[in-house]
Amino acid sequence: MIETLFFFLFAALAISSAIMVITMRNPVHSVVSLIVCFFQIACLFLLLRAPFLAGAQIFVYVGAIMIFFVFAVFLLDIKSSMAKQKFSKWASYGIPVSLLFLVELIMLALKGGFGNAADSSASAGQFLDMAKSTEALGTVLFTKYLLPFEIISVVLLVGFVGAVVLTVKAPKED
Amino acid sequence: MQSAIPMEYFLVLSAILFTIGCIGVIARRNIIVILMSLELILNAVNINFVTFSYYLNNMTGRVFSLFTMAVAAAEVAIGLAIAVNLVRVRKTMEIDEIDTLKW
Repeated sequence: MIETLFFFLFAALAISSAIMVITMRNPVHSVVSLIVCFFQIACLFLLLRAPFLAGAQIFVYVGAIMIFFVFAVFLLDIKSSMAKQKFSKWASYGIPVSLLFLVELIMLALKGGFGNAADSSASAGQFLDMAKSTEALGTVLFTKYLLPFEIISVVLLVGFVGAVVLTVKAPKED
Repeated sequence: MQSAIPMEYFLVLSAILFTIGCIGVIARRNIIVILMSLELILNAVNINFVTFSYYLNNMTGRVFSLFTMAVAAAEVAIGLAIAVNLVRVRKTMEIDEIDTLKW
């Protein structure tokens, strides 16, 4: 019961801060709202008994990705863009289509029979213990998914080297 | 024993966050806000992964949500570098005005 209460608290905060991300005129306000949203999602991961993912969410998203955004906002001149129109001319078509898509997704979630599949999964409660969940995640990650894990580290390396290459100014040729 | 929260609650929440991200990508003009909306979409997918992982007792979803986080970090590094260069060259943050490839 109390978990449901906390779910609604986190969900309401996540949705309202997500709406603020796309409606705020100043990108700095959007960044702060997005940080709030990521914290709520980390709390939801805790409700789903994934403490390691909650920690990774805060480290990676709030610690790394949002710092990127803050620096990008610092580097760019946001004053000039704030004076202009906020939404593009496609918004009047895009928003109804997106809302239609939302209705479809919610219908799929409610009528898709996912709940039955969850109920029938036999060994329920195997990962209810927080510590056991992290242990199981590590075991699966470093045995079954070892190769994807190594590949993803190469992807990260290439990504960051690429970011450096893109932003470093080439020396002028005389 | 499973948690008292029905699985559908998490699915609906992730659908709502996904749609908010979609609206941000489609409707906003500021390139930084569009990249932030992309992060919202990736997070909504992550919630779905972890939800199914928890309710179906399968670790694969959690592993994949870790992979999603790593790819999102790489994507943001590249995307912001491109955005900063684009703004330096074109002197605008509005994607409506960056339409050279269209014509």
